[in-house]
Amino acid sequence: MSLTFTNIILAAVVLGVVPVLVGNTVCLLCDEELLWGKSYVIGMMAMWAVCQLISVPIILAKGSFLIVVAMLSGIFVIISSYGLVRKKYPAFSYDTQNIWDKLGFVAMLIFIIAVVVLGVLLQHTDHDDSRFVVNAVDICRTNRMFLTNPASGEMLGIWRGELVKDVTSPWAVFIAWVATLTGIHATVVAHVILPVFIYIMIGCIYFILSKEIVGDRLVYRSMFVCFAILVLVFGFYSNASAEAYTMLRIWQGKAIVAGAGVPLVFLLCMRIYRECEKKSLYVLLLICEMSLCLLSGMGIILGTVMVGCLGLVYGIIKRNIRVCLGMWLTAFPCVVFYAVNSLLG
Amino acid sequence: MSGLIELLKNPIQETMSSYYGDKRFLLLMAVCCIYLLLASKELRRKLIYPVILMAAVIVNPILYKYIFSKVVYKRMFWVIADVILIPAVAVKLIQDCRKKWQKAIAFAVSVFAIIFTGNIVYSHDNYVKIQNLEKLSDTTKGVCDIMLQYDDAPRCIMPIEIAVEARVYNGNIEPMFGRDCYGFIMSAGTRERALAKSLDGASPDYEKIMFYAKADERRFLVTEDTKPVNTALLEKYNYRHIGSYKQYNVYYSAPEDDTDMGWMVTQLAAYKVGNRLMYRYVIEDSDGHLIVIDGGGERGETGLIRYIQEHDGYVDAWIITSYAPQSAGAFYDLANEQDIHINNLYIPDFVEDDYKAVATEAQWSLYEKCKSAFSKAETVHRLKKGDRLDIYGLKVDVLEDLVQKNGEKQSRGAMVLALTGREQTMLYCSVAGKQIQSTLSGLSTAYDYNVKYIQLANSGRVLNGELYNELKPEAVFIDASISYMETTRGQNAYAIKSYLEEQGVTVYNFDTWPNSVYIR
Repeated sequence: MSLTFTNIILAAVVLGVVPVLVGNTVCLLCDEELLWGKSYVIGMMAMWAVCQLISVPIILAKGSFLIVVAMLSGIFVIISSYGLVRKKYPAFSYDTQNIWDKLGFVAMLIFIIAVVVLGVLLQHTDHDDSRFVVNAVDICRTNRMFLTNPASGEMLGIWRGELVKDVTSPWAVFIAWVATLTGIHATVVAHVILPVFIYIMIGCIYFILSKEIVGDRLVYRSMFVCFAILVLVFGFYSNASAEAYTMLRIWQGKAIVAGAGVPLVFLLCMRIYRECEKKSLYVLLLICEMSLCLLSGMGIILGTVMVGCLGLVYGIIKRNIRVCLGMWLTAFPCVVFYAVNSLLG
Repeated sequence: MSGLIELLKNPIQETMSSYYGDKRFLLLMAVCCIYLLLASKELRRKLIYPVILMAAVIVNPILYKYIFSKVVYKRMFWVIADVILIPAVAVKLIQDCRKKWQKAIAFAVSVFAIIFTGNIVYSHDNYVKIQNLEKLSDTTKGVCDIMLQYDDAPRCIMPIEIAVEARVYNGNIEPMFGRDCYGFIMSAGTRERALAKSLDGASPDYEKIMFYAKADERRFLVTEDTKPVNTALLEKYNYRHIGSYKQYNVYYSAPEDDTDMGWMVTQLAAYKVGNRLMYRYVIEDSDGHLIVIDGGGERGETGLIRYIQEHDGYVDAWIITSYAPQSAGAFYDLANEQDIHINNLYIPDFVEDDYKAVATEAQWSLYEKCKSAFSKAETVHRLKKGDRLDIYGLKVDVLEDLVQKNGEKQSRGAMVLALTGREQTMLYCSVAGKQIQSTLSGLSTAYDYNVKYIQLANSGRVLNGELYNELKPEAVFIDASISYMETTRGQNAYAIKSYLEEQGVTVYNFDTWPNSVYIR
């Protein structure tokens, strides 16, 4: 296996440019400020949500993976084009006049780059890959989704054991899709390519979230991200901690739930807290919940619990039942996929 | 109510304890929560109240019982979001300080608190410098590359440690078992689990591993240096060493080296039963069928139960040749007490009164007990002298039956069987003694048997010199230990054993292992 320059460019396009373009369109439609980081996060989230929406019915119909590849690629091209046609692009609009703001921002970038570089240069052998990554490898190899035994490669033709969970949370399909488009082996996509983009995404999420927690001042926002990274790096208090999952095996769906999904739900809910009348925020939360379903069965459960609790508290504080119900309704995809999973399993 | 309190203690409290490790970080989070609760009205509403509610939901025993117990519970604690709480407090502290030196101290204290209460993730034992582009262990890659030089899609048997990564490296590799073999991802077959356990154990049963490797067309076998494979076994199964990587050796058997191994017969009593008598044989074919002959006399012996469990609790055929307690006792015990399924049961056919007249008290008593267990079998077949069966391709001839001997009583009479594969025959003499010599005499000419093996009961007396010269078996089984043969109870078994060995015959007994032969 090798990684050519073309492979790297294609990966940058599929996991870097396309999410920004998709996010740009979603932000435009949701009347959100067009910022690079925000577009990237929302774009990636929207891509996962579309992947979930497209792939699960095809998986249930035992259809070919190539249909998923064609449909996903087509949809992303269409969504990306909308922003380009409207000629509206993300901007970088932060006040960096103050020296501390500048220093803080640079420090934050160094922290994020350090995490990305260490994520690439270090390796963690994780036995869970014998299911998660092998599923993606098998999808690329057979063009069938979750119908082979990941341990032996034997064609099963039905969903058995833990694979039932993957039917409703087919994160491996997204990895396989990236692998197919870029021509990179699915294992390399998972272990080398994906972490780079997910760590950048996590950095962006915490940066956007910082605004809701520490205000507008850039130095404090940067400091918040740096502290978050420090907690991620030093949060190895047990193998099961969210920090351990984020730092050791970020290519696995459940780790992305822990590292990106949970703060993303907090971020969107806090936005709703601030602007509870803005309906498009509920749509973004709905998209987020859908994307959590793709990542992992844990995403389905955690997404529901978080939105349930945050919705209840915010509804009470705002004394507005519509806030509560609106937020609860965004968990609808989680409930549906949980029900489908229960029926299958 | 007490059940719910129990749930709170275990597993909820236990999971929480294991999740937060030494709890320093939990303490830091608690301090952060209290600080935000008191210091910031906005964050209290936006962040702390929801987090407290989520914590209450997660540690709720009712929700645990009906929902959270169905998922990996410890991951529920991810929603407590310490990665948001702690930085929020750290920055808030700094923001709240007015002077620069105060801010610097707040910054330093925050950094120190995080570093002091936590553990750095880069210290994880399994987090190492990148070894290859796939980020897999070099050992797995090295072993897989050796196999891939010979076959694009290698089917193999390899230790689990390698198997869990092999398919991450290359999806075309097909190990017989991987991480799932103990049921983690999906339940593997009992036989696969048994082979995995054997291969990962201190002394793998390579005879069995290679038999099934061949049967399942697994052309590659990966073993560990510390568990060497007997060269004779490798030759027997046509596996050759094609390479080594670190502590692993890779063996390969090319398709042109394939041989039909036929039916594997194993004398199970060799599982260290000491001086006790035991008639317990199992026959397996490459399709995974299990045939039990007799089964032995004592309960609690792990050998037979383990075999049946390896075949998912299914016995395709069980042949009882005698109601001697050493032969049929296990049938009664296992059929009654174990969750096993017997497809076909073969028993001697006789008129009960005739049998009662010749049987010993113990035999008759056991027969009476066994009768009640016959219904456990799906089909019961009664056999008599002259019957010929085809059991999954293995031809079984009944050469002698229980009570027929010119009307004379045979207190230790039994069914004598000829088990014939495609070319070779094994004579199974059950508990019978020298009175069946006349039955066996002239057998090979009359039936065109190519007698390769003979089972001789405990005394070995069936085979006298004359009969040996006629049948010329390659190996014989004597159902006794050496020490038993040496005692007077063994009569002249030891002398017979010595005589046969002088003639170049392999003599299997309870002190030799593995006691497996193949009827081809």
